[in-house]
Amino acid sequence: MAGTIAADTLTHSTAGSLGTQYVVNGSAKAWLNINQTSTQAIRDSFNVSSIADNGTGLTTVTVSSAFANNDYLATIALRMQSGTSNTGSSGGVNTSDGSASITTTAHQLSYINTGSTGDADTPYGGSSIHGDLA
Amino acid sequence: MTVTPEFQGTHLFDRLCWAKENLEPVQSDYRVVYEDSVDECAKILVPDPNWMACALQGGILPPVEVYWELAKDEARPDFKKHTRGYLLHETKPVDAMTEEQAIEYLILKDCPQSVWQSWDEGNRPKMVICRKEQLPQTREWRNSWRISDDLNLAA
Repeated sequence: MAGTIAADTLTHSTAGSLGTQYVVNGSAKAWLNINQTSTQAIRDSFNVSSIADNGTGLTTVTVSSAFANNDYLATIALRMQSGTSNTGSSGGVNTSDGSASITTTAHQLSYINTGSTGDADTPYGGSSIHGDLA
Repeated sequence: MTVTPEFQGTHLFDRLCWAKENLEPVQSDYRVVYEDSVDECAKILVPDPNWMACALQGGILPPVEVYWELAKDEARPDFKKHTRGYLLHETKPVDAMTEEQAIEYLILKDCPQSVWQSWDEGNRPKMVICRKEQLPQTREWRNSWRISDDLNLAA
């Protein structure tokens, strides 16, 4: 590809060196910012092909460039609606011992309001995904 | 007009990096409503704006059949990790699509096969393409949403 620089190490003039594998392995391979309230929508993203609104508080994220296996890690972001945030909120990835499975291209985000202990839509959610690409 | 570089053989991730830098996201008004379980509410597929930009641009996304091949590998009981990921990167990318063609591609990629293979079999359709404004405007009773029995399908 044009403009490619091949290097195994990045060296700063005073701060030392860093192997480029740290950059490759440490970078998120996909991310997205979603709004679940009203019609679910994607504000911005990278390496995502679609989301599926699966019900209250539930969103399946599907990526374009597949992961090598389903052992990748999705770090979840969340903020509940104004007025309910004080009661606490929680989010996570649904797993195969729940109602959804994690595949190399898809995982399901799940948000709850811990005050009401029920599923709840978040106006600001999403995930940042680290792992090896296929 | 932005010209897509020759991307066959380039890792799909690198193509998406190029697209993110060079293409404006396209917010589609199309939505795909589908039911994949009688015990669950209707699901709504929302296209990603950056993905849609890639689809309309052409020369970036692999053929959808590549994803089917990887899904077959993943469905094997002894699956550990993908060994044919090169299909994503080395197969000739698809040409530019219209928005409608892109939605069809997305259905074939991201909706369960059990839905799109038999969407019009049975007493009522399991899948409908609609516009965002045709969906309920509030989330009230979201977990009870179903495709209407009274749906008039276009010929």
